Amino acid sequence: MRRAAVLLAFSLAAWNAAAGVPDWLKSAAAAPIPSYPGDVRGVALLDEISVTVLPSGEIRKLTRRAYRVLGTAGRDLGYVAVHFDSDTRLTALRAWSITAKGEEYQVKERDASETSAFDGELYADNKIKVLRIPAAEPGNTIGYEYEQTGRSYGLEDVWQYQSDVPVRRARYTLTLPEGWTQQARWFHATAAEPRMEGKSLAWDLTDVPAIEVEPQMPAMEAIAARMAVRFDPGGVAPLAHRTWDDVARWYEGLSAPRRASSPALQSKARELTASAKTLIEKVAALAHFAQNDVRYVAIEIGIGGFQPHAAQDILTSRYGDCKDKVTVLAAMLHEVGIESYYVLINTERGVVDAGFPSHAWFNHAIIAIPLPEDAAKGLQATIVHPKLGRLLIFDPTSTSTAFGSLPPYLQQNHGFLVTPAGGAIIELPSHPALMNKLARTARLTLRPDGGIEGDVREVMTGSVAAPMRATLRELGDGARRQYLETRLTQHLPQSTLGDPVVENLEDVSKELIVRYHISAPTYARNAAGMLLVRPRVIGQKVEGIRDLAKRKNAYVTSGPELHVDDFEIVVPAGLSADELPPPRDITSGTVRYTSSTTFEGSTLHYRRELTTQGFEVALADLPALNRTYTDILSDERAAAVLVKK
Amino acid sequence: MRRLATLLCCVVLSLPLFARDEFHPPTTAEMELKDLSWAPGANAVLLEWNVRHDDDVSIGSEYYRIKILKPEGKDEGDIEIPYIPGVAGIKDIRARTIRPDGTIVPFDGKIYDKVLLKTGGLKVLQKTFTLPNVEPGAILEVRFGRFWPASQLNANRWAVQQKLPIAKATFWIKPYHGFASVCASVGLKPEQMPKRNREVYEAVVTNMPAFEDEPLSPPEDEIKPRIELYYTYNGNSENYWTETGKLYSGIIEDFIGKRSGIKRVAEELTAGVTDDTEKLHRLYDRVQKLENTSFERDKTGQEEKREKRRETDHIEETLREGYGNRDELNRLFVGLARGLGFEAGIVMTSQRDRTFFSRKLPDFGQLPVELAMVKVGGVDRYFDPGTPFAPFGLLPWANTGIDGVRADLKTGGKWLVTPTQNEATATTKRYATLRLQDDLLVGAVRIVYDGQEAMIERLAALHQDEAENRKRIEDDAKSWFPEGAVVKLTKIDKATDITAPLEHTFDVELPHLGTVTGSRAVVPLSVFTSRNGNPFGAEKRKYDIYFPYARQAFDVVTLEVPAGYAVENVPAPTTIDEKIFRYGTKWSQADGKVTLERTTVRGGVLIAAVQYPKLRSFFSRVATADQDAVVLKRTK
Repeated sequence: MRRAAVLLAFSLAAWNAAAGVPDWLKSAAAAPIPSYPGDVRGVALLDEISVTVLPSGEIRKLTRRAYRVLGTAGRDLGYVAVHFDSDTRLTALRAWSITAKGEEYQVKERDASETSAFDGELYADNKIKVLRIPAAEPGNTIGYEYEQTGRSYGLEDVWQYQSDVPVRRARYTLTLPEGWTQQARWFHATAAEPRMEGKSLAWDLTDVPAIEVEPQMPAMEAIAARMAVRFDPGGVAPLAHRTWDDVARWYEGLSAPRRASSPALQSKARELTASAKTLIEKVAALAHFAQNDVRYVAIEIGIGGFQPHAAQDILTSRYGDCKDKVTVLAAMLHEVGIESYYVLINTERGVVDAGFPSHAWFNHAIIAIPLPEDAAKGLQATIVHPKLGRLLIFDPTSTSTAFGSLPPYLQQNHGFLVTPAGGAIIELPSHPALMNKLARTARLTLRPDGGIEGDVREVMTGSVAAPMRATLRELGDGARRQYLETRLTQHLPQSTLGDPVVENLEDVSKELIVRYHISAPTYARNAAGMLLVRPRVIGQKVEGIRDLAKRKNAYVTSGPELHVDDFEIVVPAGLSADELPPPRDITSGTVRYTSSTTFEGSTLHYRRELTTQGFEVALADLPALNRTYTDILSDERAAAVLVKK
Repeated sequence: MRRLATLLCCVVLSLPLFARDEFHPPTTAEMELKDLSWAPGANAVLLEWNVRHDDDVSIGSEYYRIKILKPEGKDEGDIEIPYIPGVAGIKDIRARTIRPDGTIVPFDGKIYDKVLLKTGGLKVLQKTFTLPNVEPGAILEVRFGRFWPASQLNANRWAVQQKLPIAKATFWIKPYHGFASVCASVGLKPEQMPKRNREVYEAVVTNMPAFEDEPLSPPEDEIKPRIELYYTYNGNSENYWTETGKLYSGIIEDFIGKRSGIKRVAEELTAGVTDDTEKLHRLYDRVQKLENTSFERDKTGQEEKREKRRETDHIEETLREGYGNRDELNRLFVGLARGLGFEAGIVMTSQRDRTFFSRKLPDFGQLPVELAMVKVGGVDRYFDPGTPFAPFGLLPWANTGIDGVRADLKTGGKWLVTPTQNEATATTKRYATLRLQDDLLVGAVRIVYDGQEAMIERLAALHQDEAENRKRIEDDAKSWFPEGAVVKLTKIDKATDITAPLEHTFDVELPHLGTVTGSRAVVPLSVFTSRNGNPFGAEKRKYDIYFPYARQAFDVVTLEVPAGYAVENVPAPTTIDEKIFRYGTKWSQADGKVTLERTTVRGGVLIAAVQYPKLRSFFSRVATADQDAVVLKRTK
């Protein structure tokens, strides 16, 4: 489902129709700015949103932004990209620049390029206009304004004023029809009080710091300061989403007709469940159909960003997007006597906030299926709802996730359960590390010349198996072998991979198994009569160490996982261990790592386990994580010293 | 800039073109097909792909059938046909799905016009729709027509290799009868090449595997087989090159001309200089100091208009105005050299980072770059003062070892190959002095770039301020070192002085690459290549291996032996000599220090795929040797 457009409006009186650089931009350019560090690419001198709500519920929004470009990396600030669609029509777009020498430039909407906004849809009516502002060079001031008009599905707006550049002045003004009220809620920020300016309310903020963009940081929407505001006409107001129940009613109204029964749906549901002996087998059969036999295709026009297609049409065409897959599944579940519910969710953890009821948080749809306690046994993806009891949560869009499990991006995430009686935010479960396991075993022989060879077996489940499955499925036989070879040479540069076998690639309910033979002509290194052998022959458990010197944000991990390596290396007769890597047993907040290397008879045995918990490591816990990662990397490089007896 | 498009005009005719049967019934074998012996494991296959193109009537058509073999092939049900209104249109789209049980499901859904780009007067759209009932075992059929204005006669290119394997593709290409044409191919076997059958070119290609990317391959355009249609002066490629060569030579020579003002300037610049090379050096320096419009930062149309630069008509104006593009500056250099009596000219050549040149394809667009050539001491020497930071006599690698034409008014040009440059023209020296500090290797690093390497670095910094340049350099350095390295740039030396190597100096803290046990520390010293590994993991290779340019690197890494340790062992030296590729290490110890000297030489650019096992073995052995470590023994 398409990310909800952030609507809203503006004051016509504020529009400066005169040609040339407008006064608001000249004024912003003239204001002094403090000194910033050299790597700050630009500063927003003004970030102003003016919203006017009409009695009809139509919303007009004027956006004005002014930037001082501080470095060459800030040239990108000179590209203005405005999203629009049939619900958020773009009615004006202009931009200007003032150079340090005082030269002025102006560009208008006709100078902009337009393209469809690609967000995974095959077709959608949302587009982007991109306007390039001349002379977006260090020392120059640039600015733009655009107006949009349209309607909000929930009479609300979100003002996200914090971004990756510092903001000198942020301002939001709101003009409501007579008698309307507003409720504002602040996220990741201290609430500011508005003041009256004529008939408008105005919120003014100064010196909002930038958020530094880093790899594996939480989603910007989950950490950036913002204000959400609801416009309330008072009394009975179907357009206003004052509560989660209002949002649920709205969505139920959109989706319920789409689940209408039909003979074809009845027939297909009966056919799919004909051999199912139990309730859970019925559910699994229908879920399998929605997951695998309905091709993911998103076509979203207007309200189609939220409203699913009719279940009958989806069944006929066998394609649809996430909400369509849920719809056809819900319709067929209904045909076998099971009532289910939409769960709207955001695939970025931490974005949804229960304190502000809004459809705008969500970009994905999944399903909740009530199950009796005994039927849910052994399934991880369940929650207990106070009224509906045990609910199985299922994402038919994720074709690499087994029935009864959740893909990692949904675990420990918050979704919105939509029922005819109302709706509520629910927390989805996190699966234990044991569910996401990589068990790698290797039985190897070290040759007298230092070469090594033997067999490796990797068994993967859950979120460890999912990306590997997705990768291997896409590849033909030759490319698949090349992929495995390349993966091996990352650990054994001089190696040959033989007899690769992949088991259960298509069946996500089973473990994914990858087996192969390895051979490396030069593995152990001779050094002054010693033989140096790295017991960790293959596999890397951590991608690296975070650069804490600059890190400003929490670190997002791939979630709970358990990795077990068990390697046996039979060494040539006559060798004994002079020195072995020390055992490790390290625990930091989210990571436990143990490893041991032993030598018995002629066999070097290396075993290690890495268990990670949670999905995010707080900034304060990163030093400990770094120490753990350092130790793991050190263990991975450690060599056993073998000498002749 | 010059370069004519091969655009002409044509007479409007109106003849039926489309084949009689809209769809082709599948054979039993096609319905039962589960996998391909010649492309095992494919997700889907193009069973049939028919292309018809008729410039006589300005219409064409495409028809294809796709068999879905695996669930991952289902995405082929999404159909996207881009087009540019006014240049070409799409009409009569028909499609259907044949389900595995033989049931036919016609496509009757909506076809969307997706906006790919709308800017100024240009609009690029895409017919977009999706087919129903797409599942493994299904066959998808799509047919559509193309039409274009009769006044438009374009060169055309068809990429024969696609993301899906192709069981059979047929091309039926009818050129406009009023002009001579050439239909050529690149990368096809002789039996697959287009053949003229009366007025039509026809080609049949069978069992073409899907295109699969491989690391360090030649440009994609170069390795994907293709068919191209061109219109020429008389249907003969050689005549095309001769006649078009005369045309462009004329443009070039008009721009250079014989200008007394230029002669005077050349003489002034070289007053008192007797050595020919030194004279040219003076001219080169003067030209390179002019504003280079090809390499200035990207500006908007308004900014360019505001600058009020006028187009210059000849080199004297270029010199007077103080700016020119790359070609104009090189022409100016030629003019100045001629002013001193040198035999000099322009060589038009290709840009081999994008595509290689093929003389079979009559398209002067393949030669977008002009270089200067001057005879010095009886030897033709190449120069490119039109590229900033190009040292005297050194060409950017993309213009080396590639076909070119020396402009000549009378003959249309003389074919030649631009000089290759050996590894000595691209040298990097990296020095590190490190000491063990807890879990870290701490110390200083100095990088010295020379020749091609310095030019590339300097060009990368051309439009960056200090902060952005620093970040780029530090990020680049971090990519050599182990994950978690802390790198701080402390000095840039000779940033713009092309007469000397460029130097970057850093303070570094590197995660210790080795291991410390109870009584020993094992420390590998190949810190600059700790993340290199073997770039050629796969055992087999389809395409030739293509390195941009020959280069050499010398690393010297010195480790101070920490107190409480003595050196127990330093590795034996390693030498791997595969002639074009060479590697060597030398370890030494003295004065409480252990030093690794490491040399790598890449003396070749294009390596035939048959040599791949040897090349892979070389890189495997290098990666293994780079794991060599000094062993320190605890003394107390």
